[in-house]
Amino acid sequence: MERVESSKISRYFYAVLIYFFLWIVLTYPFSIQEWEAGAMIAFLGALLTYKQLSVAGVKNIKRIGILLFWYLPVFTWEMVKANIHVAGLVLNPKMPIKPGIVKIKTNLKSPVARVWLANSITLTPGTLSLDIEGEYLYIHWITVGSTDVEGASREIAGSFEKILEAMFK
Amino acid sequence: MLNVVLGWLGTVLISIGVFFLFLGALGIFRLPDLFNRLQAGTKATTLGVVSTSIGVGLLVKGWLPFSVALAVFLLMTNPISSHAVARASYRAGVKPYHGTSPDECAKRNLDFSGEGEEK
Repeated sequence: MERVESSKISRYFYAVLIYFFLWIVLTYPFSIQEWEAGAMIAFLGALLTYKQLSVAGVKNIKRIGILLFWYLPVFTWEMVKANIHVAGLVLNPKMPIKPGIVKIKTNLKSPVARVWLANSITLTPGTLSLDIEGEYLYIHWITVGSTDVEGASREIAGSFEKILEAMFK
Repeated sequence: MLNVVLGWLGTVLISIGVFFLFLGALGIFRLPDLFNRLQAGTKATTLGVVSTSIGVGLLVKGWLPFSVALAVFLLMTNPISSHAVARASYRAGVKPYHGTSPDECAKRNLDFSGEGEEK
């Protein structure tokens, strides 16, 4: 697995930015005194924890942009579809479920990207990521479509894999 | 005017959220095994709570940043917890529903006597 680390400075400033932004959001009615205290705490807190927060540093800001403007609309739509799907299953008196556990293959290399893929799969229609083993993910599927690895990968992970590939390039 | 529109939007979002939360509870009651129940539980409660909290944020003045932050934390942690429950219970030997037709997971060689490590 590849795990490219950025420089310590970049990771440190990324942590400062994130903490400061969180502080601003959580102390919402804006006032300049809050911001001063927040900046101090962000610089100190980042000093202690920047190693745990990120490995890619400031590059993450581009990722957040893709996340907001490309991933989020697709994801929201998929999540609404997932809920309507579950609603249809649960409210149907016959409950037409056909569960199965299939195996899919992912091309994503970085561990963080795989976490995002697994999370997205869990919240999309009828699928729940059960286990991960190298580049294979085991998916519990509530109404099984195709059972071979390629078909299932296309059907389950297809729409998200493109976005995540662009995001974690 | 804006307040009226925001109020209606918030009420609609809360109603949608409550409806899906109810469906999630019903799904946990009706579906046959742990994994199917987790599916209903995770998806329905995620959309339900996100939609309810954003609706409350629109209704009450000044709460929107907090409710959006709450929704983001929930979206990031909810699938992880459900994955953890599913993985742990599969490895602990919880049998899936008998109609589960392809079970690729069962073809692996897992050593359940150890700490869940693969052979």
